[in-house]
Amino acid sequence: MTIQDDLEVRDNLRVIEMPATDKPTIVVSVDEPASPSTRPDVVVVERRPQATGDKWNLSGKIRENIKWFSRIDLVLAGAALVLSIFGTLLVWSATRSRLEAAGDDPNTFLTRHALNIVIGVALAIFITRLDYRTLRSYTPIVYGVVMVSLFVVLTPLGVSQNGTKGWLPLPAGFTMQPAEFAKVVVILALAMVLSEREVGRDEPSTHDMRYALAWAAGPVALVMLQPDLGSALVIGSIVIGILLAANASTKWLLGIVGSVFAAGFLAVVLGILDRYQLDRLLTFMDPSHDLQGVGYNTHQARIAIGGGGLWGQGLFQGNQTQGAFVPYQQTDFVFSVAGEEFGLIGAAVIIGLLGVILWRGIHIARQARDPFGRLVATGVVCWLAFQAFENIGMNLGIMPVTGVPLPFVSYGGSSMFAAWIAIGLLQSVHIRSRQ
Amino acid sequence: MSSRMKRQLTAAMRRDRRLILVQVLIMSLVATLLVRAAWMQVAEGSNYRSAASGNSVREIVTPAQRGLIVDQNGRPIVANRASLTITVDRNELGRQKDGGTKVLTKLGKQLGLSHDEIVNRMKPCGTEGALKQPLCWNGSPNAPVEVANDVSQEVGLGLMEQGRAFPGVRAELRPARSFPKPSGARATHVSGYLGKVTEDELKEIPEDDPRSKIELIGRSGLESQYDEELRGTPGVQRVGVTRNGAIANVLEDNPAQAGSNLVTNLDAKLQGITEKALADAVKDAQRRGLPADSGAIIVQDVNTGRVLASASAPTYEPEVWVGGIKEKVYKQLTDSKKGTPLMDHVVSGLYPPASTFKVIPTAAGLKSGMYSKTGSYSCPSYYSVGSQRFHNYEAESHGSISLSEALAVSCDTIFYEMAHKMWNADGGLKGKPDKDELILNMARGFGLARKTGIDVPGEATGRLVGRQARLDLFNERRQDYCKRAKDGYPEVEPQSQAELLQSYAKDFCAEGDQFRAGDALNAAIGQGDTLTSPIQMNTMYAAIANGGTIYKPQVARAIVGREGQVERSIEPEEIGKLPIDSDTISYLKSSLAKTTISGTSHNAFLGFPHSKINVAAKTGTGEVAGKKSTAWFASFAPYDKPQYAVTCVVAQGGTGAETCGPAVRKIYEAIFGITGSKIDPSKSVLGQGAAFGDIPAITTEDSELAAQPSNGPTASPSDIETIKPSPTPTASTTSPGASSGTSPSPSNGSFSTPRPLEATRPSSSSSTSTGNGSTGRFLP
Repeated sequence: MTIQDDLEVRDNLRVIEMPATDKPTIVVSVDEPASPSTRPDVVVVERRPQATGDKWNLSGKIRENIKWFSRIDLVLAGAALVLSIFGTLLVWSATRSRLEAAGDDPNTFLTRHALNIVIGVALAIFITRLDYRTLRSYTPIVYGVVMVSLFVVLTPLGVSQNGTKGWLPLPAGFTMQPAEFAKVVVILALAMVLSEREVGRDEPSTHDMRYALAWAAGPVALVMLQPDLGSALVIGSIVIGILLAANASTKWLLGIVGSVFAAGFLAVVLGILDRYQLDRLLTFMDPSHDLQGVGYNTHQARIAIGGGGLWGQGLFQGNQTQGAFVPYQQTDFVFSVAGEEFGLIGAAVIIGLLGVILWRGIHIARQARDPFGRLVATGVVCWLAFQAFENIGMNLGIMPVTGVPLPFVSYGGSSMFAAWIAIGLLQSVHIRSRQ
Repeated sequence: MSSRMKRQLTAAMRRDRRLILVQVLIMSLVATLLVRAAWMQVAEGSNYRSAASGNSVREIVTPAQRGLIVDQNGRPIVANRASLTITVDRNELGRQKDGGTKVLTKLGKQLGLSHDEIVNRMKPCGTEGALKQPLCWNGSPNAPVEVANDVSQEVGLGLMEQGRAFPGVRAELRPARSFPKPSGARATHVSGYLGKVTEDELKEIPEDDPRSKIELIGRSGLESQYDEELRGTPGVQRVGVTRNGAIANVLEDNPAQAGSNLVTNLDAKLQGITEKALADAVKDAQRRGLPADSGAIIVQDVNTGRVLASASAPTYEPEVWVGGIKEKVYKQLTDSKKGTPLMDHVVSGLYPPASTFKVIPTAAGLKSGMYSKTGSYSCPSYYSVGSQRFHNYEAESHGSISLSEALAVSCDTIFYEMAHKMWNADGGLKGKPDKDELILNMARGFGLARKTGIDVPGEATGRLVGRQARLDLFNERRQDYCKRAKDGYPEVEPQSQAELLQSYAKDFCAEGDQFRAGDALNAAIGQGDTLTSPIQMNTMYAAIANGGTIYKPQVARAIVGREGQVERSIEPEEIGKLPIDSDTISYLKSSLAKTTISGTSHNAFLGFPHSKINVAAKTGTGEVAGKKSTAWFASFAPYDKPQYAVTCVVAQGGTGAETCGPAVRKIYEAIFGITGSKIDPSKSVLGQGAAFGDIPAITTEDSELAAQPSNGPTASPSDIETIKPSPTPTASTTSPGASSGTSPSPSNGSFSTPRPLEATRPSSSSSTSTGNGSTGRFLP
């Protein structure tokens, strides 16, 4: 029996065969924008438009590419690109004097960062062109690969930085941070599970919820083992966001949020958290706590940002930045470079561009043609939103310090790739949206 | 519309509502960040900018020049010079590829140090491998570390010229103490020395206080007592720096203010002579085979208490402290076997005063009414208490003599009898500790067992013996002795000695709380556990000389500002009156006047112009069990119009007359301008004898600092003038086990372990008793 046999097919609908998975997958969508009076009461399967004509027809290919390009969300892509370029300046400014002082090439980080962006954009284009629904069918495989790498990073093969065993060494001095890709696969896995729920139900069944949480639990647990509290929290925000968008009952959502808080409270009380995590928390609650130790970082970052004023001290002119007073300034504290050297204007540009990306992301989620797309887009938005808020918040002293990078801006290959994959996912959903 | 449609529709709307909720939430987060950033950067920005300036503003501290210490005529005893100091910036080394190993190795070659030695010098106090206090680095963790001080100009200039070859290494000129030694006067102990400020001390000073930038602080002597006045205010220049450390602009410039100068009552010439006299007396005693391991001479003005000269032996060259003392040298300075050269024996040395104490029982006897000025009392060769005999010195008998003569010839037995009578009157063995003990109270009235308050730190209190003191001592040591009574002294050889000690211990454990007749007898002649310091005795004799006023001994005369203005004048201070009437004082004075003419020290003063300048004196020979006797000589002159008091002590130095007499005579000759029997006041070292004229106007200029070149490292172990230059093997006379009378190890007056030789029991024989004191605090 084919899907068509079971469905009433209208001429404005296309039916395709989905690649076989363990269960027949039904993509639920409607062709027209939601309007109560014209809304069909049938469930339809949408057919992907097939490329027609000669594959070797060059002009056709170009036309196709132009057509494709015209359909992407240019505002979203532009914001991400401008943010990445601005980030490149900041990373350069934060690292050049340090590198020079150490007798190294002051442009080392600049070139690497630029290369990361290029790779990231390429990944985004690849993901955009790939139908996200195709991606869905590969989700279990990708999920498996990431899980394996999350395991491997815990073995002696993994490399530690600042007490977190989260990096896998790659050839030529590069490293890979599997936790960044865990964020992507959690989005895909949850979207996959929750979008294929039984036809006709409003909200996920208890079974679906358990199944979805089980998919998320694996990566969270492995990330916590590194331990990388920041990434775990980001994944947590993704889970909450997707569940919210999947119409999970408020009861479930409150239950999950409540149990996360309870677990956190227990961890503090029972002393499961590492000393450094407690210290960070203490420092957050009392910024003057241990100014020479844990508090030093946030203190110096805040001095840098506050010292920037409205207009900033100018590129390469920041006292704190050029004096190398803020540790990890090209990664977790890159926002402080913008704050010091470009002032409130620079800070607002970063926050504003991120705001644009998030705004477009939600828009794409709302316009998504099918539940999978909507859930993926929502997951991406919640991920970027939480991670950006946490990162900038800790720079500004309103969030505790957890080592998460600022998407598109912080130095770091995996983080940059993941951020651009996120853009790719959004674009992919956008292109295939209802408009 | 079917219900199914409706349901799906509501579900779709709910989904969309939720996404709108997410949108609102996210946009409010974005707004939060924007508001917070605006708040920090615009509203509160100025606060952060001032904090930021703390990062890129550096403070350059210029040490202030310390004030000079000058004698009463303005001759500098302690001055300043420039010293070339080599510093290493650890941060800069850390940036080098090998962590600075190469640079430090090269630097070590220049300085004659190994790489590891330099690394150890750079370690902060308390870290592994760091040197001991006060040698380790206790400065700020970010400040450049001093690795060598007072290097030669060749080395320093060499390093400056090859700056590029030594990144992170700098040679700087810093002020250092210099010691001009006018007339040979070092005044090492009185002046004291400087040490680095410790971390703990810094904690007590607020960071914005310029005092927190002080590097050196007075650790002993006048340097410590008047540190606040001498040290001045370091200059602090706040400069903006670029990230390369180059100075961009000067934000604030508070130049260093040099410290005030200290005018002392010391007379450099007299001080030089006194130091030499003491050194000679010590050498002379050593030539005679005595250990003479420590000694002191002090000269005071009797009418003001001002200290004209103060010498302590063994001494050392004060330069050893400049630029940080070497560990080896420091060990020698604190070695009790070498007589603890670091200690100022004038104020911290405690010795049994022996016969110099006898003025006290004389006064007590007269005050009690039991004795009269005109009465005659027999001075047999010994005095018996029960079966015990207490002998005169060398068992001499002087027949029936007056108290006055008893002082002059230093008859013990008259005072034994006096003490015995008083002890019986107080109730004998059954006497209560609160009894009015006449001799003890008189000693207190004479200022003993109490600090004189001299303006030199580390003064020892001393000890007097009486019923209460005995009880206290017993309670303190009982446990140790009772344990020893049971366990014996297995570590002592030979066995007979161990048995003897054990019997002492048994004795003490059983009846140590009893103040026996023998204890009273010993106390009366300044033996037993009685201990006094040279400054106490001289202050006491000065009081007798001036008619009964006890003046606080004062080394400092005035604090004079850099422009010569007197900031503080230190006036004589009366701290008590002798509790006797003027007749008794006159009686004591006239008794003491005979000592140098016909008494115990007439030999030392043969040919002295007694008729014009009569030196009133009392000699003493304090006996210490297991050691040679302590030589004492307390005196004042001229007898008829007293001006100066001089006291000399040499531990293990034989008799007071023989060892100290000639030294004191030399000092009086210098003071009064005496050559042979001729007096020529113009030859007086004090200049017409007119000491204490106006406070000399001293001004100092900062230029002097740079003018004097450094003459290379001066401190080496050989600079210590130990007290055994004579070829005679005197060292062997000091038994290694016996602790010196000036042992520095226990804190003042505490005895943690039983010391067998201290078990003073009259029952065990003779008047040989011990006073084994410990010293005052002297360690930095």
